[in-house]
Amino acid sequence: MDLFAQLLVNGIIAGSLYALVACSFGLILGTTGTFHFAHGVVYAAGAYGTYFAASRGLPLWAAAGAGIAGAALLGILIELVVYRPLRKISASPLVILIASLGTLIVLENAIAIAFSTDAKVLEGFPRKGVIVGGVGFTTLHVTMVAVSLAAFLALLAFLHWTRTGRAIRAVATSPEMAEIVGIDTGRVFLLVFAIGSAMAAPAAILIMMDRGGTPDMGMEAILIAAIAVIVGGIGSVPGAALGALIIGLAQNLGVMKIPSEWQAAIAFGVLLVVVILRPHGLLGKKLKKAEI
Amino acid sequence: MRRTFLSVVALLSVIALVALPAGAADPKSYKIGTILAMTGAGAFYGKVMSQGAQLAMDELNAKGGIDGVKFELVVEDHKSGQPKEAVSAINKLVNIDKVPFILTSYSSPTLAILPIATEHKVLLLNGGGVSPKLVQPGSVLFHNRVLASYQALGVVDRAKERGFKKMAMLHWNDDAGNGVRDFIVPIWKKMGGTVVADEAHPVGATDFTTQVAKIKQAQPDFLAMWVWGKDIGIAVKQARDLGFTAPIMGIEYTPDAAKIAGPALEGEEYVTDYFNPEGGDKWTRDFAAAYKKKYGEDPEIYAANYYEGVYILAELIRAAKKKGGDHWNGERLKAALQEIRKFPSVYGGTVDFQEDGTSLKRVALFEVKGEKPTFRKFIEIKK
Amino acid sequence: MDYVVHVAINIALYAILGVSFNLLLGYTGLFAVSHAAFFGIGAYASALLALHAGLGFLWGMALGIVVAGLVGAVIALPALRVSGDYLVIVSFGLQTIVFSVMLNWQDVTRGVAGLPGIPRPGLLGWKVTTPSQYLVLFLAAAALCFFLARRLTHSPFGRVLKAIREDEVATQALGKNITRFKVLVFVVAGALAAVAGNLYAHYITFINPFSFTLEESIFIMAVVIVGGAGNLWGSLLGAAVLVIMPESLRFLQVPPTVSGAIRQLIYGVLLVLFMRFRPQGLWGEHAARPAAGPPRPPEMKAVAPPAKPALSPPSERPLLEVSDLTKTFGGIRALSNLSLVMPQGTITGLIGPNGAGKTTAFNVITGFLSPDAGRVFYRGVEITGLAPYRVARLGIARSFQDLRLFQRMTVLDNVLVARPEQSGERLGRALAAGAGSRREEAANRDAALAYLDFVQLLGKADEVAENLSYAEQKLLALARLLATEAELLLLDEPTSGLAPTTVGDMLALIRKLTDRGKTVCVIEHNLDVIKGLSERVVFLDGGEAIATGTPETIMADPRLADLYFGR
Repeated sequence: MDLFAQLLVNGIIAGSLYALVACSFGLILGTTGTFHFAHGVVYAAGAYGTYFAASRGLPLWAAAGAGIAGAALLGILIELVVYRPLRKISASPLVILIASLGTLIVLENAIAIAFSTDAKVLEGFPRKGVIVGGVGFTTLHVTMVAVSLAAFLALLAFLHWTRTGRAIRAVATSPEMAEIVGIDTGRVFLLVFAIGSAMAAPAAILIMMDRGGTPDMGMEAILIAAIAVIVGGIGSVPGAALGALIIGLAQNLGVMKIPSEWQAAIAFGVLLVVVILRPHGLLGKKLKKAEI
Repeated sequence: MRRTFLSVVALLSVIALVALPAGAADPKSYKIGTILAMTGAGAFYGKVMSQGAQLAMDELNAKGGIDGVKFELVVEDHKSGQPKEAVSAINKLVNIDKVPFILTSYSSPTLAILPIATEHKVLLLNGGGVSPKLVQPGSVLFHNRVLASYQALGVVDRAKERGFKKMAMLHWNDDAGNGVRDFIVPIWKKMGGTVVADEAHPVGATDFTTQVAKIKQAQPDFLAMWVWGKDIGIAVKQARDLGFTAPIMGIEYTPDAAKIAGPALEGEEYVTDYFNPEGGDKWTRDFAAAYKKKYGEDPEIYAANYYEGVYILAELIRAAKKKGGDHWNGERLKAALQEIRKFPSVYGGTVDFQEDGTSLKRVALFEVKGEKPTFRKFIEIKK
Repeated sequence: MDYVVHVAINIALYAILGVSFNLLLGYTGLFAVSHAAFFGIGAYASALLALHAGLGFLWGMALGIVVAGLVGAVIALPALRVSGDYLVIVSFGLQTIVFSVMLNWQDVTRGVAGLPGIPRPGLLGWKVTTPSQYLVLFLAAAALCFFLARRLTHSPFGRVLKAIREDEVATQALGKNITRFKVLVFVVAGALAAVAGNLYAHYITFINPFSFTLEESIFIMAVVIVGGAGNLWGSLLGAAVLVIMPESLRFLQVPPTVSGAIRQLIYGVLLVLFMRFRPQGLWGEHAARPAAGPPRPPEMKAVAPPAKPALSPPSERPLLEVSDLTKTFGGIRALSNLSLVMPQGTITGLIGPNGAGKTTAFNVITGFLSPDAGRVFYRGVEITGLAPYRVARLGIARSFQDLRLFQRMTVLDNVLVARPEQSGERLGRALAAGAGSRREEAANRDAALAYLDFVQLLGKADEVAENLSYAEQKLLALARLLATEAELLLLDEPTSGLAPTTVGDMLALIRKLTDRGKTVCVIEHNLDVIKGLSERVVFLDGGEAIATGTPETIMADPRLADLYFGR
C-alpha cells in the first residue's frame, strides 16, 4: 500500500508538470492551428532566462518573473518571424512543422552555446522534505502541484469569463467567422502565443529547481504535451490537463506491473489505446466520419 | 527549371566555400583525433575531455612540443553516443586529417569505429567508456580508465566492512550498468549478502521517483548505484526527497552530479579512480591548478584521463622516435605502448596497461563530506 | 578517396530512405513520422539473422522486408483511423514504441549496448570489404529502389495515391478503397526502408537503438521536403544536400567546445530558411514535367464516347429507391422519413430551401452518412450503409458542391483516376507492368481524352487543375464524374456560380447524358435550370419530400413557393 501511495503521489506531481505544458501547447494548437514544436525550447528558455536573471543578482521570485516574461516574448517573436510569413504564403502544415523544428534546433543550440550543456540548477527555493503516511515529497513538489492547478483554473476562467478569452475561443472555433464579426485574429494569435509561452515557463523553472535543466529539456516535454493533447482531445484545455494527468499517473503507477525501464513507452501506449478506441480524444469534439 | 538550377548552384557554392579544408594535413605537426560527446545529453563530458586534452597539448607545446614538432587537436562529435556519427568522424579523421592516434569516448561509438581503426591501424585510447564489451584483447583499443566491474568490487567489500547484508541496486539500463550488475551480484551473494531490489533506468533519465519508490519499499541496508554522470545527482536527490534514508554507495562522482544533488549527496561513499587534487601527488595538484586557471572550474577524472592520454602519447612518440624510421603511425605507437606498459599517471603513481588493453591505476574510497569529496583510503582490487 | 566514398554511401542510403518516405508523404500525403522505425526494424532483423543464424546478407534483407512489411500493415490500420495532425503524433508513438522495444528487449537486442560485429555482406560468393565495393552495392540498391518507386508512382496505383493526398472524400466517391491503398503504401515504404536498414547494418557493422530515433525520422522527412515532396528525383537531391551540408560544416574552424552546437545551429537556420523561401523543395512536384505546351491534338479518330454495352431496357422498377430515410444531427432532423424514386433514364430535379436536406440525402444515398432509419435500394438491391467506395463501384457517382477536384494533379489525371477497374491499381500489376497493362492504360487514356473533349476541355488536358477557371473546373468535375461510367449520376449544384452562357453549355451537356442512357438527379437552386432540364421534380423541405411532379406543376404551387422563399 505504501508503494502504491508513493507512486500515486509521484504520478500526480508528474501529471501537474505535464499539464502546464500540455494546456499551453493545446491552447496554441487549438487556436492557431500551428503545431508549435518550438514550444519546447520556449519552455526551456523560460528556465534559462530565470537562471540568467538570478545569476545577475535578482531574487528568485523576480528572476522567475523575468524568465516568464522572456518566454512570452520569445513565443511572440517566433510567431511573428517564423509562422506568420509562412501562413501568408499559404505554406502547408508540413512546411510549418519543419520550420518549427528548425527553430527549435537553432534556439536549443543557441542556449547550449551561451550557457554550455551541463545541467544548471536554480538555487534558492526553500525545499523541505516531508513524509506523510510513508509517502515522501518536498515543499517544492507541493508548489508544483499548486502552481499547475492555479494556472489551469486561471486559464479556464480567463477563457470563459472575459471578453478577450471569448474572442480566443471564437477564433479557435472558426477563424473566418471571427474575422467576420470583427475580431482581429492576428492579435489574438499573438496573445495566445504569449499566454501559452508564459504558462509553460513555470514548469521548466520548477524542474530546473528540482533536478536541473539542460538545453534539450524541452524535447521530451513537448512530446508528452502533444500526446496529452491528443489523448485529451484537440481543442479542449480541460482535456489536455486530463490527458497530462492520465499520462503522469500511468507512467508512475504502471511500473508496479511493468519493469521501470519501459516507462518511456507507457505514454505512447496510452496514446495508441486512446487513438484506437476514441480517436477524437477523451474530451474532444467528435470528428465526423467525412466532412462533406 | 533554370531558377531551380541556379538555386542549387548557389547552395552548392556556399557549401563548397565552407567546405574548404582548414589546411591540408601537416606532417610537421602531431595531429591527434578525438571523438567525443560535444553535443547532446553528454556534452558536459565532451567539454571536459577536450579541455583536458587541450591543456596537456598546450603544456607540451609551450615546451616546444617534441623536438620542435608541436601537437594539434582535432575534435569531432559523436553526438552523445551515435555510432553513425562516430563512423563519419573517424572516416574524416583517418582519410583527411590522417591521424594515427585517436582519443575515443563512450562505449557504442568506440565499438562502431573499432573495425575502421583496426583496418587503418589507428591506435585508440579510451578514457571514458565503461562497457565490459570494450575489453578487446589484442586489438588497437586501450583504456586508461579503470574498469567499472573492479570498482564495484571495491564497493561490495566496503559494504561488507560496514556490516551491510541487504543490497538494493539502481543501475543504467545498458551494457555498462547491466554488465556491472551481472558481474557483482554472484560475488555479493557468495559473500553472504542478499539483493532486495534491482532497478534499472534509461541513461540520461531525469525522473527516478518510481525506481526510488520501489527501492524504498524493499528496505535495504544500502543502495548501490551502478550509475554514471549527472544521473547520479538527480537520483540521489530524489531518493532523499522521497524519504529514503539508507546509505548510498557508488562508483562515480562528477561535479555536475554534485551540483544537482547539493546536500543530498552528503555521506555518500564511492570507489573510483584515485584522482585527488587535495592530497596526492605534485603532478595532480599542478594539473588541477593549471586546469582551474585556464577553464575556471575544477577538473574531475574525465578531464584528467584525457589530459593523461596526451602525455601517454608523448611518451609513445619519444620511444618510437628513438627506434628510428617513420615513427608517426599507429603500428609503431601501439608497439611502443605494449613495450613500455607503465606510464606516470596524473593521479599519482602509475597507469599500468594489461595484456587485454585495460589498465590498473590507483583506486580509492571517497566520502562526500561538506559537499566535497574526501579521500578515505586506498582500495586493493583483488581480481 | 575513402572519405568521399563514405559520404557518397551515406547519400545513397538516404536516397533510399528519402524515396521510400516520399511515397508515403509526398505522394499519398500521409504525414507519418515513423520511417526510422522501419529503418531500424530492417537493420535489427538482418543483423540478428546474420549474428545468430549465420544467414547471409540477402536472407537478412528478405527477413527485414517481411518483418517491416508486417509491422507496417499491422500499424497502418489503427494509425489510419486518424489523419492530419493526429497521424503525426500516432506515428511519433509508433516510433517511440519501436525504439523502446529496441532499447528494452535486452535479451534479443542487447539494448543500448547494441549489436556489434555484424559480418560484412557476401553476395553470391562476392565479399564486400572495401569502401568502393560498398559504394557499388549501395548504388545498385538505391537504383533498384528508385526504379521500383518510380514504377509505382507512374502507375494507376500511384495516381490513386496522389488523389488520396488531394482529397480523400472525392477519391472514395470514385470507387477507390482508400484504406487498402494507404495500408499498401505503408507496407511498401516500410519494406524499402528495411532494405536501407539491412545495408546500413552490414556497412557500419554495429547498430544500436540510437541510430533509429525520432530525430532520424525527422531528418528523413527533411530530406523529402528539401528535395521536393512528390518528386522522386527531388529526394535524391535532398539526400545529397542534407548529407553534404553537415559534413562540410565539419571543416569550419570553431572552438571545439561549441563546434558541435554551432554546426547544429547552422543546420537549423538552413532548415528554417529553406522552408521560408523554398518550401516546395528544390524540385517541386511538376518540375520534372515539360511545360504545358500547345493543346495536344486529339489522337483518337472520332470523338464518339466509348461504347458501353446497352443498358437493359428501362424496367418498371426505378433505378434508385429511397424509403423512409431519417437522419438526425445533434438535435436537428436533417432527413425525416424521406422517400423518393429515380426512374431509369430520367432527369430528376431536387429542390427546396436551404437546409432542406438535399445534400444530406445525397450523402446518405452514396454511403458517406449512415441513416438512423430507412433504406436505400439500387436496382432493387439494398445498399443502405455500404461504404462510399462500394456504392460508387455499383454504379452511383456524385459530384460535390465544393467540387473537390484533385488540385495539384493535371486535368487529364483527374479524369484518368476516375476510370473504373484499372488493373494497374493493384500493387503487383503496378510494379510489374507488362504489355497488357500498357494497353489498358492507353485505352483509358483515350477514354479520358474523349470525355474531356465532351466537356470541351481537351486543350487543357496537361494543365494543373488548380490553374483552371471556375467554369472550367466545374466542367472538369463533370468529366471526372462521367469517366466512372456510372449509370446514376447525382449532381450537386452543377451550375451554381456560372455565367448564364456557361450555364447553357452545362445544360446541353447534361441533357446529352440521358441520350446515353444515364439516369441523373440534380440539386439546383436555379429554377430555370430545373425547368429546362428535368422531367420530374421533387420538393424537399425539413427533410421530407413534400411534393413530386413536373416542374410546371411544382413551381405553380403557391404553397411551395412560400416554403421555398421562406415566407
